[in-house]
Amino acid sequence: MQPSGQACMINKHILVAVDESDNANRAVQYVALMLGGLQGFKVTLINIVAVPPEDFFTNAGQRASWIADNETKSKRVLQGFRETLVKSGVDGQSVEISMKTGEYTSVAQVILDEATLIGAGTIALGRRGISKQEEFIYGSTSNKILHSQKSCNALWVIE
Amino acid sequence: MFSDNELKDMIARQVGPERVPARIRVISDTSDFYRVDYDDVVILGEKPYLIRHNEREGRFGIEEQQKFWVKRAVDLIDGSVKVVKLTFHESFVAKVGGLSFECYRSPKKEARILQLVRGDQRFMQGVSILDTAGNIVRILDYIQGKTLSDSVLLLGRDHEDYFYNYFPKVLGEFIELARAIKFLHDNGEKHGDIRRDHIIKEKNTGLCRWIDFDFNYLHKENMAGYDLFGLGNVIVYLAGRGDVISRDLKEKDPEAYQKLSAEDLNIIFSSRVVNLQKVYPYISDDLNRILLHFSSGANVFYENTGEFLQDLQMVQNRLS
Repeated sequence: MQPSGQACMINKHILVAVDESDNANRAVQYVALMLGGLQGFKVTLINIVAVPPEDFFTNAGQRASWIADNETKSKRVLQGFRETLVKSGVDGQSVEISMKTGEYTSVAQVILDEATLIGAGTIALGRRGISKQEEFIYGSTSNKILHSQKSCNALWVIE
Repeated sequence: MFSDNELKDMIARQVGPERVPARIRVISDTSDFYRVDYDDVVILGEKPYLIRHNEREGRFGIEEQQKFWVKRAVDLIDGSVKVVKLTFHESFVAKVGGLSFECYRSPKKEARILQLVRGDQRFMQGVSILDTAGNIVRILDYIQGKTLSDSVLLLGRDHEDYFYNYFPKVLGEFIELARAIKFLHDNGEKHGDIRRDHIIKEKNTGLCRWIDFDFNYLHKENMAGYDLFGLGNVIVYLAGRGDVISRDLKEKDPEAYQKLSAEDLNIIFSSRVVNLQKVYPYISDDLNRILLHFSSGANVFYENTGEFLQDLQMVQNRLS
């Protein structure tokens, strides 16, 4: 029988979903603050390049150029946030970056799938305060993750 | 492919000898749709189509405007009336309420949906064909009839008569239409421009059909969000036998107007009343609860068409 009060096993792999927004910046700063100097944690930064449907583009060249531009931005964002974490004391060897490019129906689902794939115990992401109207029509990535996530131990939604 | 005389014979046969133009211009590259004009013959997929007028579309009180890329036409082989949609790409940022959408018109999307819904009577029917320049042209069966929104305005002596005697059938028709949209969503497609005037009630069959699938928008987290908003607007319109506008109510029914609060109005279009039970007290709680999902006071939204349909179905089961 397990003695009461014994610390449960903590999965020390955190998936941080980022984009170019200030909210993502706040999320990374928060993770940096929480982890700076702590040993044994692993962080994966993920950015999703959600490609519009093929019919958004007038030709294949335009689509290829759109993807190239956005992947360049994505790499810049990921590298920038990686540096933020390292400067805050997170071991550079423990920070990985992941860029996902595709025609995705739901960004939230991509994040959840990645968390499962890499075995992350925590998902962290920023949330901008959206209006009721925006949530109604656009939907909310953080809300969807909140309601759908099953495999993670924790979800950090940073306002 | 066809000589002038052959085309003139076909035109005489299908639209009458008095309508045969003196000179026939045959077009097979429709890139410049402004050039495709009345009495031209457009050859598509080896079939000749006699072009008639440009189609028009109006919206919410805005005067009807010509759609130069959409032509009424006659199939010169069998005489059937068609709507020929030529390739027109446009993209723009649409504002709905305070929200912005990156929208675009896509012939490819419409062609894909036409293929997906072939034989499904809940949708307009047609085929897409490449012209000689590779433009995607959609040839649609013309649907004769009124929009569903116009047809419900003619039902019943007043709202109460409409609600008890006609609305159950209208609700059944709407549920079929919502199922049709779910079918699109289940197949990874959106309608993209759900409006009550994009539903035609066919004169001969009484079937309600969705039209116009070439609009698309870049969705965010919820792919179906904007389509669901459109469905919500349609059911509120159908339940109210027209839009119930708060400022009209102030004059026509001041007692009901007094009961309204901001939460009773449409979440985006703040002039429209969604809490119809405050205006028409005989509207049932279960139906009104569905309508309230589209109100400013809503705290819970439908995530997908399936959830919306489930609630509608319960109302229909109770009514039948």
